[in-house]
Amino acid sequence: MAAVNGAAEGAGVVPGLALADARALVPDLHAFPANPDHDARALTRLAAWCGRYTPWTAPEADAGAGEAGAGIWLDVSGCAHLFGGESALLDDLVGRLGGLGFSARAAVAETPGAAWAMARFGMVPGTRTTRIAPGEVRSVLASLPVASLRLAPGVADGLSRLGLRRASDLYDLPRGPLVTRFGESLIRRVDQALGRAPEPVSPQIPPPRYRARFGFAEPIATARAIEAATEKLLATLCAGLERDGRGARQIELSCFRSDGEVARIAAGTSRPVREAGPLLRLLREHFETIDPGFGIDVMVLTAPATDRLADRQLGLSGRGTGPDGENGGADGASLAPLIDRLANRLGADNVVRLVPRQSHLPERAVRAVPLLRGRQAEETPAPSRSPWAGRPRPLSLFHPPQPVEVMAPVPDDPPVLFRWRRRVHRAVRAEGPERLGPEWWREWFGTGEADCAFAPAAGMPESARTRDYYVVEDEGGARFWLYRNGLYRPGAPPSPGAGPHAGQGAPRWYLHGLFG
Amino acid sequence: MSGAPETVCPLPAGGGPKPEAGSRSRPRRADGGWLRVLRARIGAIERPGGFETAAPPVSFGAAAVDAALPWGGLPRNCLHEVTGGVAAAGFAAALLGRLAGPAGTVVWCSRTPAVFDGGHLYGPGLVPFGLDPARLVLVRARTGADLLWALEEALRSGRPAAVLGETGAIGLAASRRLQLAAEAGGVTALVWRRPESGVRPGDSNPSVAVTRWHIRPASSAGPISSAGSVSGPWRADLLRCRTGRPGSWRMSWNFARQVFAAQPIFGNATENENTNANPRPGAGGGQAGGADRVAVLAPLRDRQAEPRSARVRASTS
Repeated sequence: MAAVNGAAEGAGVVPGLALADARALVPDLHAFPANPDHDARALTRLAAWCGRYTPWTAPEADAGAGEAGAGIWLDVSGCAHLFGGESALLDDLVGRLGGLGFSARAAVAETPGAAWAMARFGMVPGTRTTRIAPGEVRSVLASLPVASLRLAPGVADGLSRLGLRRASDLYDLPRGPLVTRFGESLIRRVDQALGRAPEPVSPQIPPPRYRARFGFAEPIATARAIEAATEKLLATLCAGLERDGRGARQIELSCFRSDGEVARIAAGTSRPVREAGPLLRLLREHFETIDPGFGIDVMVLTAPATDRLADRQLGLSGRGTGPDGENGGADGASLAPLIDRLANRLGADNVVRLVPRQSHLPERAVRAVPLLRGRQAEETPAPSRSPWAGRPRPLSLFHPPQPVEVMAPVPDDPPVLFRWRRRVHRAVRAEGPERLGPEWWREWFGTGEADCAFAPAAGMPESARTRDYYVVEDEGGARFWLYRNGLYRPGAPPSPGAGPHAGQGAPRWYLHGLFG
Repeated sequence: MSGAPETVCPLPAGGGPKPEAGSRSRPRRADGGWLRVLRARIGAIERPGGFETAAPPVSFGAAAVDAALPWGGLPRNCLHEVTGGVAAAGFAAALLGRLAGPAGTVVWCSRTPAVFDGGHLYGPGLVPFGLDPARLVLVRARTGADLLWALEEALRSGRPAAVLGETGAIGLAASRRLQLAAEAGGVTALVWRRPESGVRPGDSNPSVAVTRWHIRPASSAGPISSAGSVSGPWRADLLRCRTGRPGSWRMSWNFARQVFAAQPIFGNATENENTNANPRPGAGGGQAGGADRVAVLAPLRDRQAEPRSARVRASTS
């Protein structure tokens, strides 16, 4: 028997028993052939899963060896508070593992050795998690058996024959004789458990699945050589992507220089790509940033991020069926190479699409969505143009709105004269008002008053007032979009600012946009 | 000069060195004389790509404008310039909408952070001009060089239906690059020279643009908005038109039918009014009117700065 579950253990079946003996004990025992390779792979996957708690996770090196059971290291330094503390993290971890079908015990301590010991030997029966408070490692470990110190096979037996059964027995023994008798590893384990010797957890970083490497006989330094090598790497990478039906969303080229430096360039794409040509064009933009120094020994091309990309039939000419991919010339697909090039040079945030948003406030009604990051498919339920039609909207919007000085004969009338940027405009025509209320579900309002939406209560943000918009045409024909922020209320507290009406309870006027 | 549209006829499509070589030895006298043949030859030299034969021009929807342009509309796949304030953006957006049609995509390149202190493009405001924001790619470049690069990339890729760039003064070389990119990619390029950048319509901005328009707002005769949209009217001055004549129109945009409506403006009757309307020095109608008067030199005038051609006119008359 390689391993048994809890029920079998209760029936007296222990690891190491012959299968025939076990069957004799429990006639209806379910037995499966052991497969250590699969176990190790499952453990590795589980370690990757534990990356939800900390990036520093690693499966235990000699996983499953001996009867101590398989383990996973997690370095939770600086991560525990995200889950409500170390104990909460352990409970969450064990609970989730239980949900996945694993029975696990978890311990957290200052040193990996102490945590290992507690998880295997220091559990109070009936519990599954333990935490050693800082500074108590030495005292807590003292009562545990020597086997809890991760000793090599046979060492624990040898120690117990000498009468050294508790970990504390080893604390202060002279080291020379111990080393000569049991080897240096015993002392190292003791030191590691007590924090006298460092023991870093080496993280398990998943290697990129799509990777191509090119080592040169002689270091290369010219741009043409780099480009030629990149072409070869891309061919290899794209073949791998093709095989799996995937396309790269991100590629990274690392150039290892002969003097030990590494130059890295990266590029992203708006949709999965596996044609070498467009990818090379993206990388070529950045070639000038590579400083070859004394020459480049090795170049490695990886695709850290990939997406599914359906297979595409090649035409007789060897090219794709459509000019631009499987969407057969839909706009999003056909523009993708251009968008990739623009976004890689100008920045992803600077190549955008304007998307309507559910808001009637003009400055919030539209949102810029980067084309490179956004999946086009998920936004396409495009409410064609209905949300934007109907009311006059300017072609150019000021954000924030520009304050203007206004002369209006009647408080609730459109202005007859306004001054913007030190120029006086005489209004010839005006249309309006279009009254836009504040979004009370978003903004903060004062309390109490029923009509608080219309009262410029102290501390109320400027944007939380009712606006009256007017389209105003001046004598030259230029058309402006002006609004009055708030309503006239005789006796209202004076509005802030330095307009001509400041201090008279008059709301301020703003220029919000210009019409084309 | 009513024969301007026919000047392109004697040359086969995509004219270039071949017809030039053929006609150099013996210009055909019967077709209207030497002058006409020479003008055709100059036209061939000036239009290496033969853009007007590559694609049908886009109509303004207004017969008055279409008839005044030698191509019967605005030629595609070449560079056009628009100057003026936000009114010019409206005019350009309407043109872009007509260029792109119902399915084409438009790339609009501007600067970030807003270098031009005239606000930023507002998507809902494009809808009345027939330009659906969903079919618009907005590109924001940090520097002028980045902007020109983005324009050229977009043009050369051949993917968008039309490209607009908000630029300041671009040099002759840059405009030539854009024109070549537009021809190579088969994409129409619009350059909006914003007044905030210090560009004045009368400045001698050498460029190879096929047309240059100056757009000013015109006072609306009736209500400002129609059908819930504010679009136009404008006074549109065609300051320069290669192989054609300049002109002035009062234009408005018919939101319902998605076409321009235009009435020609003759003479200088409206200039005073517009000089008052736009008090920026140099932005008035004086120089635009000057361009009107030197119209007879239009085919030869392209490479020259405007004041200089005015001087030529003065010495010849």
